[in-house]
Amino acid sequence: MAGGPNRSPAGAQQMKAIVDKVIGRYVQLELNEDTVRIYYEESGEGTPLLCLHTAGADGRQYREVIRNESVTSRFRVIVPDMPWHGKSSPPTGWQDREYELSTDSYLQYILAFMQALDLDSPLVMGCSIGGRVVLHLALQHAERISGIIGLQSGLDAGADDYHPKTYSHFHRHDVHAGYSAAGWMAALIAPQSPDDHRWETLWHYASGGPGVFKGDLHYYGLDGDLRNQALNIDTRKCPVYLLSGEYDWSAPASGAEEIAQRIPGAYFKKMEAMGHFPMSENPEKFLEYLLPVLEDYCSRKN
Amino acid sequence: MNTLIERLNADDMLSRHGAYYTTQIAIVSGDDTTCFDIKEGKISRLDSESPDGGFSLIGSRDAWDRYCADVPPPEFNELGAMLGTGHVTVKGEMSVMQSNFMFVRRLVELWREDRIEVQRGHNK
Repeated sequence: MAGGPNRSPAGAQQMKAIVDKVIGRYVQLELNEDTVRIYYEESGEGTPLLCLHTAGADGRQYREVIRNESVTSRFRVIVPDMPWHGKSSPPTGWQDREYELSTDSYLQYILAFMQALDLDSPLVMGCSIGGRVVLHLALQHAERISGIIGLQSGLDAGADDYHPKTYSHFHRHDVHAGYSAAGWMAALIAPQSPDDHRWETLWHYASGGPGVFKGDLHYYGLDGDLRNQALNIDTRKCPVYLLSGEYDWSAPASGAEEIAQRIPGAYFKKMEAMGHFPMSENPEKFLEYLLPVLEDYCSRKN
Repeated sequence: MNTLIERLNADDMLSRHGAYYTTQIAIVSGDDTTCFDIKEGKISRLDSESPDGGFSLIGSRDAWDRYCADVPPPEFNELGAMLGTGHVTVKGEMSVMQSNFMFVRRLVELWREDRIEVQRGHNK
């Protein structure tokens, strides 16, 4: 038989399958007048750890965090795809509207998701737009959460001249928006990050829905700007942890450091040899930074 | 230069992304310009310093040197990083660059590898 004893009759090499403990589910949310079908994955037991992905991507960015036993042994890790992203559907009638994320709609979705899953005081971790919205959460809804971890957090995107045309290449008929997004996001990944994770991260960008990345950037570049707000967060009640990669020029580590200086008790750490997508571009190295943060959070909680 | 052109035309990623791409691209490093003519992905050297209908990527020699370091520092690790931080600017048809940025970044990446090899050869 072709292929010898280690091959199946079809010729494929026999492999031992590895089945993760991660499970995926859907939940229907009512957001304003829309019903949206949200996909989420979860694994582990303990304090809810809600993980929010970056703009134009989806929950696959946390693929290694959600299967890491050092995390899941103490936390119920929950990773949703935002509406319009990943396996979450856009609202009915998407073809007749332009997607545009705002601070209010972003917070509304997160709070509705927490309520739907009955998450009691989760620790919320977000990256990039997620790293911004965790600050909005702590400022406006600190009583609903037990702490935040901001990855690549920044008060603004440095886009004082923000205009929809700034990002038009991410959503126009004569440009492959997926490749455009992937090409540009490659510039935010550290050169030391492993190639397999680099390209998986870029695949997420290459496979986003039309106009979604650009719509997220409305929040990142304009609506979610926090520069003129006082950062009144009581870190005794809501611990604030900020981790930022040194190769991120979009949300530079200096910006997160400035935030930490403005919030008494906030923790800041610059992640060496890391870019804008720490949990996805170099998960192994990211966990070296994340685990001490989770340890500190647990010791405070106890 | 011929080695670079051969390397570019042999690259699978450039071939796939360039199949429908026709333009001219110049990389300007200080006083040095390297200009490429691209016709449906087929790349040749262009004996000109000003691309016709395409675009130029303009940076100081120091900026491109940093990009060509073994481990480039932050802000110099990719073409997009240098564009995003202003170390390299675009002159010409921005939309032509944006229309196939995967091709452009890969072309510059291979130009970098060639430049590093040439530099190492000089240092031997």
